[in-house]
Amino acid sequence: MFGHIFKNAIKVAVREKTSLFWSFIFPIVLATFMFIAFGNIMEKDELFHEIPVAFVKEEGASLGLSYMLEAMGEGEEAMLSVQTVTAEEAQKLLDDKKVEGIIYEDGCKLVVLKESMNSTILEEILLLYKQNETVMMDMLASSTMQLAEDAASVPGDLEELVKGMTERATYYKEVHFTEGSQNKYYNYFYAIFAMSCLFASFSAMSSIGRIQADCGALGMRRNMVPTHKMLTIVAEFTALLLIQFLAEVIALGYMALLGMDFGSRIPFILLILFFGVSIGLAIGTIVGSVKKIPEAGKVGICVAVGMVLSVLADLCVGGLKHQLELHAPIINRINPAALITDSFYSLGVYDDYGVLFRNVATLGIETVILLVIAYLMVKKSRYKEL
Amino acid sequence: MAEKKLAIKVNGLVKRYKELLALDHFDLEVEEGEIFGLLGPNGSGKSTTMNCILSLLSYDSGEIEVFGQKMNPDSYDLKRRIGVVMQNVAVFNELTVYENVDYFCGLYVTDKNLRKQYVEEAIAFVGLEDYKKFLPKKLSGGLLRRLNIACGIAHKPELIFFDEPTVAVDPQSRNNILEGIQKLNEQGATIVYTSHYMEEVEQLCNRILIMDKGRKVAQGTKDELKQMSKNTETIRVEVFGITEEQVAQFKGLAHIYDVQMEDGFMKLSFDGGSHNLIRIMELLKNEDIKYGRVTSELPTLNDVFLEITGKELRD
Repeated sequence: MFGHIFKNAIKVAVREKTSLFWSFIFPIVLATFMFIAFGNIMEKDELFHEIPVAFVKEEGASLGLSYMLEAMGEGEEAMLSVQTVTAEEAQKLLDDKKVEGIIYEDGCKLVVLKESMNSTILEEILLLYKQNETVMMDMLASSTMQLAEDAASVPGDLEELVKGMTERATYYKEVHFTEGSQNKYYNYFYAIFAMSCLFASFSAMSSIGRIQADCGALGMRRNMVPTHKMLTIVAEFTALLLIQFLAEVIALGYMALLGMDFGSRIPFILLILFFGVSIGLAIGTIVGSVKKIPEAGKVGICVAVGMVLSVLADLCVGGLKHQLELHAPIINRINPAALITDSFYSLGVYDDYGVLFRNVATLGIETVILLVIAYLMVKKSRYKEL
Repeated sequence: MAEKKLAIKVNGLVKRYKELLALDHFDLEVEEGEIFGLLGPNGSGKSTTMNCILSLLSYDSGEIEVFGQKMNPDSYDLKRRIGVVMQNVAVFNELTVYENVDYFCGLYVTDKNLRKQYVEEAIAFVGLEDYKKFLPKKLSGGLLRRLNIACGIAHKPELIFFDEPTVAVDPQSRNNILEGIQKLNEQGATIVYTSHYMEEVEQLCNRILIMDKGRKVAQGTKDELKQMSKNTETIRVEVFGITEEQVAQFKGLAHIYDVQMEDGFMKLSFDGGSHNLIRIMELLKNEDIKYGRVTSELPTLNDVFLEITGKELRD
């Protein structure tokens, strides 16, 4: 009997267009929009781009600066994009904001329109060049004198010196405690998971409504069959859990295809999604169990609950969760959306699973509490009125 | 003569909705193998009675037995023997015709092969073979009603409740439904048919219980009920330019107990006698009253209801 009800619940769930949209389509659409919106911001904020710069050559000047700029503009990790132009052309490029600054070979000068991160970088580059040039010139002068005394040994020492100057020693080692991304924009994508998990409530709400005799003809009819109500509820909840979990896995796969880095802790991500979907379904179950509210009203409640909890978890307004953490941390400790996003975040930031397990356990406890309350509300088999 | 077995026995059933007394010490006995009609106007307590019998509604007092056993919400063995066709169509909009019938049948019949056979038979019974793969939203109102019936009878129940199954159904589908119910009864099922359409109940049911305001008004076969009415015939004559004195002459005829003028028609009610129409025609001729259409009607259950309660069944 369980299998019969389970199988048909799956069929109903996958053909229910509204629930299907919120479960399968909504997270993918939202992730796509977020990727388009935040993808550019991420690129601007997080990734380094070549600094466009105009270079004005001086007749008869030494080639050192020219060579250095040329070298810094080559290869995959080029720092500069150098255009060698006349002084007039350079000024025009700067006025048109096509370059960040002009480097004059004469006197190794830098002209920028305003102070910025890139102008500071250009300034540092020129400062470093000037220092090295001075040292090299001094060394060259002293080595010329030494040359007369010991022509054989000096060239070797000079080579060593130059090598020593150009080398950069690193005295620390970069160690990754976690394998997930710590990109702050990922929080928005975690919030999508949170929201879509909470929107699983729609399917549970419809399902529980179809079991109650005082919620329509189908509910009445199903209360007349020789099957225990609890069996029906469990079979349908299990079916929905499977469907909604699958929807989250598809969303996860889609986001991975978009290039998001979720690290290699996939089993833990699946654990978060499983408990996330469970709490979403439990919320829908309890909303659907409330009597005397029409179905449209219940849909409205599910939307409102999902939206409010997601907003509090930073889906729309960044920083709200932080403010709650400062002033009312208990909300973050019990808000399912915050628990889901925090769990994801903890996987990317912490090297242990303390936060993850605490959050998942909280989600589990909340799910059980809501389901027990819902069962007490719908368990009756005889109604006072229909 | 062997005593007939009872499919349903209801004793002193009382059901209150707050201040409203929906069932007032209601008694009911339905014999196995009959088509029992529960007739009454909207709000008379027909559906409440049915829902109490099916253990869906709680009740304040009384006893309900089905097939000789007390009926409870967890009387699964009894529920397995009962089929229900609700007033409102109760199907899954997301499942096809076949899947809907299979779903409900599967809640009663666990053997897969037997279930498949039952589902096919139920679909054939209601004539939905060509619509097996249709979703309910693609079906007309009449076809939806047929699907509703198929879902209620697929598991071959011994006792079937039909709660106003023909509401908002076109005449052709209505006839199909009534013929189907007749067939089910012929195949051995006991039928409880609730309706406020007296014509259907008259046509279909062996025994009829007329109820109003949660109480039994009358019970018996169609003929037994009609004998409760003093009306034996009603003759309606379309008359032109008749005077009050002439109407009074009709009132003086034998066996006429009431004469009324309604929209140009003279309605004459008889409590017996024979050849009433001939005597009316003679008087019309003698008084030189011009007349048009003439109809003669035998008493209906509505007349019975009207006489007992003072109001029409359709009120």
